[in-house]
Amino acid sequence: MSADVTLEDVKQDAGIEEEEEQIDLAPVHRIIDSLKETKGMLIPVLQDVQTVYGYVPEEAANVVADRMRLYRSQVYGVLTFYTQFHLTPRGRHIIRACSGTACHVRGGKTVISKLEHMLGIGHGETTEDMFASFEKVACLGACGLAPVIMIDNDAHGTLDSVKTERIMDNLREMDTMKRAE
Amino acid sequence: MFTITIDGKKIQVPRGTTILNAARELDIDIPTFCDHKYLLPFGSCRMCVVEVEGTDRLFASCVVPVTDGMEVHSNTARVKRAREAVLELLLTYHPLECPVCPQSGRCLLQDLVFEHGRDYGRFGHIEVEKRIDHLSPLIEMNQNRCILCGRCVRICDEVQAEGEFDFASRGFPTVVEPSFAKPMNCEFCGQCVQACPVGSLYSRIFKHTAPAWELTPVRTTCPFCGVGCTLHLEVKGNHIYHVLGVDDEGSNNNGFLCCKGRFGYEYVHHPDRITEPMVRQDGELVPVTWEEAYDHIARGIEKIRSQAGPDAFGGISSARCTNEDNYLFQKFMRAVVGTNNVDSIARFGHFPGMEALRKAFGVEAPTNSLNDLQHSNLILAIDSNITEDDHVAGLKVLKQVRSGKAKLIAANSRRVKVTRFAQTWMQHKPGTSVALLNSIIAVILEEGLENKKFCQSRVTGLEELRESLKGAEPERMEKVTGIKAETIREAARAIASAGKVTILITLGGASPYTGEDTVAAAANLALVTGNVGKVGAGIIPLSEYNNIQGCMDMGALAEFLPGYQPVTDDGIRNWFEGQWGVKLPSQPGLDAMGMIEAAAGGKLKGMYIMGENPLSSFPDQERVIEAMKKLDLLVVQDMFLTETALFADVVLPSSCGPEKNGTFTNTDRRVQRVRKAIDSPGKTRDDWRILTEMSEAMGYSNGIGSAMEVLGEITRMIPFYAGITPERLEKSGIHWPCPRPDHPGTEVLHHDRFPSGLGRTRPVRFHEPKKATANYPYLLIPGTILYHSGTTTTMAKGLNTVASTAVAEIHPSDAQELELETNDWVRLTSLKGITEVKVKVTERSMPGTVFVPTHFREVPVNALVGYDTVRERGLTYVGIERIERVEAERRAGESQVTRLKKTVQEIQDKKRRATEETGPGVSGGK
Ligand code: SF4
Ligand code: SF4
Ligand code: SF4
Ligand code: FES
Ligand code: FES
Repeated sequence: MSADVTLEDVKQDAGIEEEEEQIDLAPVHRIIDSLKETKGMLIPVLQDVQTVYGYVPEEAANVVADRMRLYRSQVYGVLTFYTQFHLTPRGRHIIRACSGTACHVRGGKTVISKLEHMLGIGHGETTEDMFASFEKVACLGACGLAPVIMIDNDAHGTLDSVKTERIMDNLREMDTMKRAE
Repeated sequence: MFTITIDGKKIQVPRGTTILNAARELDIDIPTFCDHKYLLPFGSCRMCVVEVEGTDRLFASCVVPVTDGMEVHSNTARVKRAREAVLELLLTYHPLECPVCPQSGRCLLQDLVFEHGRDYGRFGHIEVEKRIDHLSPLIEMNQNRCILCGRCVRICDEVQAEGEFDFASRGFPTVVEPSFAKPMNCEFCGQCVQACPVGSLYSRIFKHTAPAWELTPVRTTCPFCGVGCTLHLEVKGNHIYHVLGVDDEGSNNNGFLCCKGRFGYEYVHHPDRITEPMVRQDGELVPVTWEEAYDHIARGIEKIRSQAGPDAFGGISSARCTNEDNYLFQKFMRAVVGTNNVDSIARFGHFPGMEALRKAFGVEAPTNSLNDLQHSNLILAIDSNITEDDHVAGLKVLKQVRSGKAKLIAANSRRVKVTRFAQTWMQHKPGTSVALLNSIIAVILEEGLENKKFCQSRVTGLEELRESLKGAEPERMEKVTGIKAETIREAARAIASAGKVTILITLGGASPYTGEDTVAAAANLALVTGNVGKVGAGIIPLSEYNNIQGCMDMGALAEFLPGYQPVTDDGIRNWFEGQWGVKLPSQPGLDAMGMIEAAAGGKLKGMYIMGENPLSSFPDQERVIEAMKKLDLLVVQDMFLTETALFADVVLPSSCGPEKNGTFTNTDRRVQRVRKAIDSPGKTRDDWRILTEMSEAMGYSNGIGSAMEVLGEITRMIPFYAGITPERLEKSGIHWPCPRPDHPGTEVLHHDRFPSGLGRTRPVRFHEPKKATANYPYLLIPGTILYHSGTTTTMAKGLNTVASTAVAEIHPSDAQELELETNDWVRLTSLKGITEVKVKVTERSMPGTVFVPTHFREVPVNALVGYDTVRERGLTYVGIERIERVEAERRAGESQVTRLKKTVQEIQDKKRRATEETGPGVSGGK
């Protein structure tokens, strides 16, 4: 017999109460089942988990830790070390505003405050209606267009407060339409 | 060996030594933060930098190994500047709140800033708001004060194997915290608290109570489990504020403790402590003076003695009290009352196990010390939840196993921490450990793997053993034990070829399905494979009680005078009679169970119970209640008004561990000092003193003036304690046998020969547990949990924040069938009784079993346990007939406490009536 510890068990050891809303954890198990060797695979596994859920839910991270025989705190450490991982659900749109030097000197600060004001959230946060997540990032590599923001995969450059407002209004409209469909 | 010169001083050190350790050997002080004696080098804080000649950068001395001819300077201007810079950077964000910090006065940062820092900072002070964890029970974490040395992270991993913390995030916002920043939810050993150099992790109980520099440390021995950790009780006035583990040559715990040792002390200050002697008058316990109480008892005993003889009185001694208390207790019973009716809880499981060791090896004690585990290369843990029952011993096992020095084979029907780290985990059916061990031995003999040389020269009885094992082959036993034959064969081969095997077996209440037979079978295995009588190999039975070994050593056993000297041996008895100046009874007395039976049957008229609560700790609560009810005189000497005390005619308030002097003998025969740290409350007196005064009240002077004088008498009367003196114990514990003052004590028994010459293997028949009939489909597994020790620690507020109530464990498959969910309440019905408890659905327990912790008075597990099997096999197999869900209201209506209160009321009424009818009887005392 093997000494495998189930998630259930460890959870109960840790006295963690089940959340009301349960997440389907089957995909996490599938991801790990598909591995031949788990050693050194933590980051790819977490990336796959993020692809499935859009973020890394705590329950999923715990399954990963338990099944890969790591401490939960260890996995959490990795998740918080790399900015690529998100621990809370993200908005339908990801808005990244550049705070690099070039953008900064050409008025990036105004753009950022405008965005924060319009969205009502700060760096690393998501609007309550899940419309968008906002992040400040270092140089986006488009300094010629400074100040720059990225909305999902599109870059928007040479912005000012007015232009920013227009772009955001458009985004909101598109989002509403899409959701109505 | 390499030669290194540090600050002009030369030393030779072995290859691999770090510069820091070489410096320490030279008594050169190099400041450190992240370095820790028991952790792997980490090299993160850079406080320990030194200059090495011939190179131009600074080296972190804690990670850099010495090279031959190295020349190091630890105190140059450059080094000084570097250290100042480290401190300066730390102080840019470390809050300056020393006045309110619990670590103030023993903070490494404070000390080093004082010593090495400068009085100004170049970078100013940056305020950052990090999390303060106010939610964890027992331990609080203030991340603002954290200097990220990682000691907590590493100790929780490397020592504790819990991994509760890790570094999270990176750069400036880096913190150390549990997964997803949850409140801590771990073993609460507090190793991290003790390791934290600053005030970032600290005891919640301690914070904001007293400044560290006003506390006086008192070195003593933990009063909870059999490991006997050395600790400092930090006291001020008459109060214990804080506890730290002690790490030096005289301690056996490396400074580690468990949650009980570190946080359990609060029971001492519980407001429910009884502080006055009480005598029952008109059904009520009323306070009296000590003299009145003694007088009352003396006359009660006199009356019983004159009417029914001394053997109508009996006494239960305590596996919690000191050796001195136990010694005087049995002396009181034997020399003053004149009966051998004296026994203890050791009778249930622990003493029978020791008997098995005596029959096999000649000595009723563990063969090896716990520290000797560091030499084993295979550890066989049988029904041993060691990390919960004997925590710090469990850490030694984990260390040995995780470092790869030993293999671990765990035979445990419950899934517990050790099974997680075992290379082989055999989840045998409860109560089948004998069958399992027999199978292993059968394989060894069948495959010719026994240690032939050892068998030939040191063992007898092998042929009978071989004969008896016909039919014990693992293939035949598969159904019984539930373990695949091949697994057993492999385990057998591993054990036979390991070289140095230590067998751990937990006995007593913590492991009700082990007993004499398990130990006997394990002894056979040790003999057959030659795993006894050498370093790293032997059998160590474990106990959840701090002084069960001492209690037995002192003669709190119906058939033995102190030191296992039989009462029936005329020569020995005569010698004791000479020493004690009285005639002693020559027939073995009634044992613990015998006394309860005799009392229930009306033959035993009076009992004196010291530091024991049979109503909650003995099997068959109903029978115990019956017995207590019938007694004419019941004296209970305890700290609290226990369930048993509710039935008492006289209650004597006694002091507890931190309030008295004396010695404990831990589970590996190590005799250690217990020291008084505070005065006991009210009129409370030490047990030894009560017993001395009680003797005097009955006309016998034992001439004792202090606890340490009792130790003097003990060492005169017990040959294997003869060389132990208070002076020697000041420095360190001593493992008995220690026959002479110049004898170092004995960590490993039976080198070269057994006391009786040869070791004896004995056939051990396997008796299948009598449960699993259609009527009793579930098996009760009473046991212990990490956070408590007996019922005592349930009087500690802090520990109750972690575990405040009994939670029974039921396997998901049973839960499904019974339609039960976690947090439901159930009623368990056995042949003997009923108890109600909350359930948790978990795979920790096997299907068909219910685990119930025994610590909680409102869930009396012993109400379910019957006597018969205990008497027969020393075991307590209990079948559970029904498990039913109960609703909250019904539960409240019939709570055990209510029922108990009713019973007490009944007796009181009865006694009152009796007094009214016949005038004051024995229990009236006039
Ligand atoms: S109390 Fe013990 S188990 Fe808990 S985090 Fe600290 S070291 Fe780890
Ligand atoms: S909490 Fe204490 S031990 Fe842990 S990293 Fe911070 S300072 Fe070090
Ligand atoms: S209860 Fe046992 S392991 Fe815990 S501190 Fe006390 S002696 Fe040590
Ligand atoms: S600084 Fe903004 S894109 Fe480079
Ligand atoms: S003690 Fe050497 S780097 Fe921390």
